[in-house]
Amino acid sequence: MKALSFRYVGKNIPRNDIVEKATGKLRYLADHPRGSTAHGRLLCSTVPRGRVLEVHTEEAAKLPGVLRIYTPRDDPGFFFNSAMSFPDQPDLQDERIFTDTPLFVGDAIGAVLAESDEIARKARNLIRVEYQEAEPLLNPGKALESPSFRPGHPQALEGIMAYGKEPLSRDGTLETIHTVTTPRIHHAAMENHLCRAFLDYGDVLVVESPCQMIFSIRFVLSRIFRRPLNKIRVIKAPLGGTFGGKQEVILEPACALLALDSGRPVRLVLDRNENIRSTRVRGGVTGTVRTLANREGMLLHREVETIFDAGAYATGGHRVTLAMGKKLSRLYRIPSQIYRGYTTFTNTTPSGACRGYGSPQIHAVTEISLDLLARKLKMDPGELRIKNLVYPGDKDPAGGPDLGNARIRDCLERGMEAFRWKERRSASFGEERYRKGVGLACATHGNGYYGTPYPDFLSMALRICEDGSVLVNAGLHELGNGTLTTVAQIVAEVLDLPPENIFVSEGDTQLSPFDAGCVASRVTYVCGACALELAEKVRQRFLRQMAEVFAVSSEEIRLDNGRAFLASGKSFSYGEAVCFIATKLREEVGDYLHYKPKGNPASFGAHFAEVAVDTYTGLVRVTDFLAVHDVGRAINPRLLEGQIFGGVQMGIGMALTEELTWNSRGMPKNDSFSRYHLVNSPDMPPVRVLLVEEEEPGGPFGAKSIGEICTVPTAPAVVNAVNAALGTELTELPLTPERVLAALEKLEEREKKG
Amino acid sequence: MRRKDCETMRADRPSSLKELRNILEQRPENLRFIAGGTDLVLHLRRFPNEDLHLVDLSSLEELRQMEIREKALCIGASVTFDELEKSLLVRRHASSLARAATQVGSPQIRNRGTLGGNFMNGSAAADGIPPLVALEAQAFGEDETGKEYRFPLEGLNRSENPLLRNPFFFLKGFRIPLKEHGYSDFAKLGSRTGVTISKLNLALSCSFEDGRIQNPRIFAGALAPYPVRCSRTETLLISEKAELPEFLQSLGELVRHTIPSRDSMPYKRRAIRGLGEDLWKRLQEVRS
Repeated sequence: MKALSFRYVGKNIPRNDIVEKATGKLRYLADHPRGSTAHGRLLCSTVPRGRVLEVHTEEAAKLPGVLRIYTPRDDPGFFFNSAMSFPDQPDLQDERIFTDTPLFVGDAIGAVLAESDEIARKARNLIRVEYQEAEPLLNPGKALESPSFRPGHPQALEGIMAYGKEPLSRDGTLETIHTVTTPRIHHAAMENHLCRAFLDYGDVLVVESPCQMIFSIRFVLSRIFRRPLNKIRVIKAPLGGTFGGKQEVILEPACALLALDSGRPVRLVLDRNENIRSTRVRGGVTGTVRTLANREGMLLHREVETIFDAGAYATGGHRVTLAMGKKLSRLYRIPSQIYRGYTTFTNTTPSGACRGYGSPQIHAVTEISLDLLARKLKMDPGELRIKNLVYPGDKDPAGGPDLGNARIRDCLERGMEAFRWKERRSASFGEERYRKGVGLACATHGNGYYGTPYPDFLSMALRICEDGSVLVNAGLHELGNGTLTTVAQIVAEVLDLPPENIFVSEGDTQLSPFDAGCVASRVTYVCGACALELAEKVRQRFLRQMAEVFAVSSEEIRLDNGRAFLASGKSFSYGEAVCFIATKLREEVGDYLHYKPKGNPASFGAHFAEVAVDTYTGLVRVTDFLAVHDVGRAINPRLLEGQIFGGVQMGIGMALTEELTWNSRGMPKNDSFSRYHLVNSPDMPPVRVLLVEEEEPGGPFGAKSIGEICTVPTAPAVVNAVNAALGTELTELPLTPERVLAALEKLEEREKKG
Repeated sequence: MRRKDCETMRADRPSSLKELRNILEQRPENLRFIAGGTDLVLHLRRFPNEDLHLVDLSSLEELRQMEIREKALCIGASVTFDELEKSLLVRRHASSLARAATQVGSPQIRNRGTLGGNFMNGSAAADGIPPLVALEAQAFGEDETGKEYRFPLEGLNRSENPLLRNPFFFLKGFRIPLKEHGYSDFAKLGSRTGVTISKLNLALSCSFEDGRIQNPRIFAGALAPYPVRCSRTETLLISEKAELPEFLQSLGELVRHTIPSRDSMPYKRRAIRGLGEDLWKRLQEVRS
């Protein structure tokens, strides 16, 4: 690694909103005063599949303060897809704002608009809906074979990816087949979904939303309401967590409909149980892996088949299926592979983006099966991986973008040493009630949309103001992870001034340059690189302008901590220099940049978990954890670690406790936090973080993504540790105490039989 | 004057028993008592149009006392879990109850949730009730006529008990008889360590005489609507010859007999051994 002396990059600069957040001064949408706002609540289906025959609103309408009750008759009749952002995208369009044929418990069939939230909630509870019910489809395996419950839309979508040829000879090869299932998961952002909409400047529809893709929301709203894009203003509101849950267009259409109809500012909010039932979930996957390897542990061929339960609507479901397949050729050198991904639909909450966009699922499938292969080979799972992992500079044999400076080997090898892997792996696990084990897993994820069908580009404007402060006008979305601070650090490094003097804007479709959205782990690698290039452009312009004003050569000017120094020894603050330039040259110190990435390298991570399993109660406790990540360069190590801590927490949940379930009648069984359990602090292990910083070409100062990859290897590492501790082959996630004890019982029976 | 439009909630907050009695004499419609509100507030949020008349018991000093009275530890119905957890009296005379209190919900829930509410809400998974039953506690309270009642908690048939079905009956507290050389313990199993609803819990009480276990009482909660007595396991404890495997097996048998056909039976039958072993080990430590 080359010696670098950064002033702001690589430093733990406190995030820009830390004081407001810590003191409670930051005003989330939920904190805004009522004023003249009308309050909306969705009326949602209580049946998993059926037709709305009648909505009895008489009792509810009598409540003083009820403004209007909306039913399926008020739906504009336009079908949309909440994951679409451009008109040419081929996704199936099957959603409506208020449907008369609900397809899951929680599907919106109407709304109540009232003078207060209390009235809206009371009125909603007084509405009686008559349904003609139909038998719900709940099992994704069965759903694949069933007739479609969405007329005109296929019940199954298929995606196939393949390269190479399966070897014909089986001499000396070992074959394993495993099926792994992953749960459907609630994002569990602290802030529930909400939205505000009103009309302004005559007829501009303004929608404020804590979201990840303002331009995508604008697009969908423009289609539904047949309004020009420039008459819809979507503003990114402060956001209390998303993890992909607020990536798709969810509440905005209904909120806009209520505002357009009533002419009032409208606030539409969900409670937690509605959030769990009615928004999006991480889709569940059943994945079957057939692996061929030789006795030395070299992977020869792999065949992966997945069934993805997309829930009731198309949304981005099949995109996730395809995204899963794309990860398979980017972690290990496997001569040939076949991937068959099936997306199917059930009468349950729709799937959507969720941190990793299929990566946690597909890696759970492959990394758990890889450990079981290692067991069959009697080989250390770390060693098995080292034999097969990709190298820096590798290409993607399936035709995806080049892997770039792929440092997964460094992650695994350094991690094995730091975790004392070999020593702990060979330690005896004990026959007592509590058994210990260690496990590891590797994973990869992307850095944006480059190389996919989705366009990846953005623009930014940057201006040094008359007082030397800097404005970066960007269409960014701060999701709580520190995006604005990171971008400010990048700009600060180039322009040489403290990051706190830099204001980076969030997205507003009327005011910001276009940006694809804060999604797909693209922000630091793509938007950060745009900020870097733009800051360099402005720096050059600034130097040229000063050279002209002060009649010196630009090489003689040195920028240092907000001041420009001339060779003569004279110095000016940036603000003074900007004013001289304005007066003498009649020019602004600023610029605009169109940016598109030229690559989409892979980010990597290797996770190591130690678990203690109570063989009496089946409870698993993760007792130690190490996360090693190939991040290229940490712009802000503390913010980066924060991402990893949260990613590990989510991943342990996927491994052990989190699972949305529906009963045989299609009713959600755990739509509250008393029945849907995240891993909370008493059960969190100490998490150590080790960063591999070997610089990724194309990334700002060599940086690449962390936000999604950090939750990807966690679940398989934990599951592998449990299987190592118990000698089981648990593959149905999460490993609830019930499943752990059932597996132990099976093992005991088998041992008895000898 | 009470307005009765939809944005007004009817609520009274009596500051003395006298005030409370005055309210109850009127037999107000749709009356519901509220103490900590940790269950009821969630219910109201989900069903906002239930037009309840709330009577808040949390300001009544009489219901917040913890004291020794007539050879019993008396705990007011509005005592919170946080207070139970910290009370030296409770720790000394009803350590199982203190232990149960530490495992209820989160600190926020323990700050608000009350022992009386835990009982009156009637959840099968209530953590406060098995320790009380094992400790031979009695509940006491009064109805709208001012008549006082006192009844043992053990073997209660909640759904058919006329007193518990009377909306104007209010619980004042619990009476736990003091025992010389008494010992009690509690263990719970949820889906994670903290902030979790019991899938199973187990409460034990007994006393020691010359190192011998006397009058053991073991009750399992969250298995049936109301704590179930583990008689066979108790017999084993008295016999003194019993070893841990037998003890654990008897608990497993209890699960099998109590919920033979329930889906959760295979899991709970095995998992109860974990709670049993925790209780057993602590009991042996105390004895030696």
